[in-house]
This record gives sequence, structure tokens and C-alpha cells, in this order.
Amino acid sequence: MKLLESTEHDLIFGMTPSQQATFERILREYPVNPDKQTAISRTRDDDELTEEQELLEEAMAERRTDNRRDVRNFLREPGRFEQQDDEVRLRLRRTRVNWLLEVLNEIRVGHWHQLGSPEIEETVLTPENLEQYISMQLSAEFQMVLLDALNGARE
Amino acid sequence: MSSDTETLPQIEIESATRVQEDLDHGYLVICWDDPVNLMEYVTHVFQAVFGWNKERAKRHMLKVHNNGRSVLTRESMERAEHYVHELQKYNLQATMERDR
Repeated sequence: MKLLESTEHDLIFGMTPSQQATFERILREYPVNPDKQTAISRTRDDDELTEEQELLEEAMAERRTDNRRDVRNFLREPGRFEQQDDEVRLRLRRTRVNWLLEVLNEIRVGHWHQLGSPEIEETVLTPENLEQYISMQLSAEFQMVLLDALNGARE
Repeated sequence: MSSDTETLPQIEIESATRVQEDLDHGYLVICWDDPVNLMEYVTHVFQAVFGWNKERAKRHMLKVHNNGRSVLTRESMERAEHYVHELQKYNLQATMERDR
């Protein structure tokens, strides 16, 4: 997947049909680890920030529900992927790129948690966790393409 | 009536004291290091959430990476909570800690 064109409102990416299939497969994995714990503070006392902790958990749960729906709509949207000769084109509104980065990152982080939160290079691979590791790394690959595109567009 | 007039000012005083304490101490918004978030992504999130330029965002990202954490800002409880929500939405390990 690579950036082909950058306009005022859109970024247009090119990819092979196989990359498109992988991209869609990765996005459909969302949310990977929906029950992940979040903490508002690392040093709070038991009675401190209790309400804020609850609000954070609620906000994250709502965000996941919204994202799950938005991912489904994103992939279903007519014209989302446009076949041109042997290449597939993906047109993204600039405002959408930020959201997509968030979703891809949550997929990556979700897999990482399920792998036991290892140092990435020290992940012990087994036949059982190989697929998860690959999804985690592929999410990062797609993230880097989007980040490079945004950075190029910013400069 | 008398019991009402005695209770209400007490509540106001307690509430005012808490607000004053929050203002005095404030909360530090801290981002903690983890092995999974990409350095470029963390920089991007700091730019998106705080509106910082790339240089400033990168400086904080490197602080997180090298020192294990970076204090991003010091805010009232409400603002700190807002920033923690935003950063956690992006899956960064961000917390708010009372500035004692």
C-alpha cells in the first residue's frame, strides 16, 4: 500500500488486491480486546478519582461501540475501494485518516495484550499465537503508511 | 428553616474548599512508555491532542521512550481528565496524577 496522490481534502492510496484483502481482514478484527482495563491514575488512593475512573471506562466502552459501527460502515461504503487495472485505490478524507490510525492502533495494542504484553522483539512465537503476532505487525505496517502520508502532506 | 440555613453554607464551604484544593495542586497529565505504540504514532497523537508542532511532540515522545514517562501538561482536574480521555482513546498509556 502506498500513497498515490494527496489533495486538499483527500489522500489516495494504491494497493494490490491481496493487500486490500489483508487490510479489510485486519479492520474486521476490531475490537480485539474489548475488556481491556484502563486506569485514570497510577497513584490514586481508593477513594480518589473513583468517579473519574468510572467515567473513563464508560467513555472507552462507548468509543469502542461507535468504532465498531464505523468500521463496518467504512468497509461497506460504496466506492470505498476502486479497482483500476490491476491496482485497487483507496480514497480517504484527511479527517478519516486520524480515525483509521486510532482503529488500527487499537487492533495492534489489543493483539499485544493478548500476546501477554511482551517486548515486541522478544515475543515467543508459537503455532497458536503466530496469527495474532502477524496481525499485530500488519496493523503497524498500515499505520506507518498512513503516518508517512500525513507527514508528507504536512511538510 | 433554621436547619436548612445551617446546612447549605457548610456544603458551599466544603465544595469551595475542594475547588480551591484542585486549583492549588492541579493534576499532571503523564504519558507512560510501553513497547507497543510506534514512536511516530505517539508523536502524531501528541500533535493531534495538544495541537503541538512536530518538534515539541517529538521531544515529549522521546522523553517517554528514554525516561519511561513524560509530564505533558499540568491542568485543573477537569482539563486533565479531558486530556487523559483523549490520549487513552488513542490507546496511549496516559494518566492524571495529583501534583502534590
